[in-house]
Amino acid sequence: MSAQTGNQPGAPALLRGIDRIFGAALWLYPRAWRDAVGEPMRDALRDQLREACRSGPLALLWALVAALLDQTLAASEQQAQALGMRPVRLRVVYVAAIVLAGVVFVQRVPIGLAYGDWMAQRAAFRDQAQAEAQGAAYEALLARAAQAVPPSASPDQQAVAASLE
Amino acid sequence: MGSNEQGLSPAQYPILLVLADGDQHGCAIMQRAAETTDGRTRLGAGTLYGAIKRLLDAGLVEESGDRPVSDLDDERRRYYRLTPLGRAAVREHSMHLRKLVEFARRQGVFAVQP
Repeated sequence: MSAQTGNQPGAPALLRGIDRIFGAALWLYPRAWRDAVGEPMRDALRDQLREACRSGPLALLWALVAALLDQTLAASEQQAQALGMRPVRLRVVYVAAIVLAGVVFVQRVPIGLAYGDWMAQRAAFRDQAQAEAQGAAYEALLARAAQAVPPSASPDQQAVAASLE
Repeated sequence: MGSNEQGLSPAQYPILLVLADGDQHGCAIMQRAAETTDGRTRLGAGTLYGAIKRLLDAGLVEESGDRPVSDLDDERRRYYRLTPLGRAAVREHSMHLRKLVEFARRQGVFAVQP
């Protein structure tokens, strides 16, 4: 089951993330090409990156850069052939798209952490606001209760009003 | 048949050479192509499958139903094999390259420079 390792729960999260990016990058290829050899190519890429991962982070980084470059050139060439145009223009677009995907991937973790902090702060503010609103409402209720109890009230009522104040 | 008429591309030739030895899947083709050329032929997955697609379209390779090591292998892996046409194409291309190498030898390209 070697080619499926990228999708198994025990596989490194990094490889799963990379696999998702390359899975999305399949859409840069023409549909006919994708249907014919898209999935086997993804499997081969998974195998290649997993092998590189075993050799260490530098080897993985190198394999990743090489794979990105290869995917960019191959996808632009295939798409240009399908559209009957020169691949040079498409390469520029594809390089931009793949670099953007890489940046998003690299930034994913810091952005996730920042988003988590922001959500936590937001929840704290909301709790504080709720507490303040509840406090204010309680104060208003006490004031209304004090006004509602007339001076001529019974000793018990006056005791209750005094305790509320 | 574009590949056969126009000759094999630098990516297609090592693929056919690897497959001449038996059915292989994509990752094994990449590894063997790199090993047999001392790392000079490093095919990325995109380049490899671009070439395989053209070879499939040209009828030089076909998908193989045989799985050499089925017990240990990923069932999703696709194996490829050389067709008779592909074998003829790789032989023809190799003969052409051999003629070029002989010509280069006659031209003294391999002579040790003083």
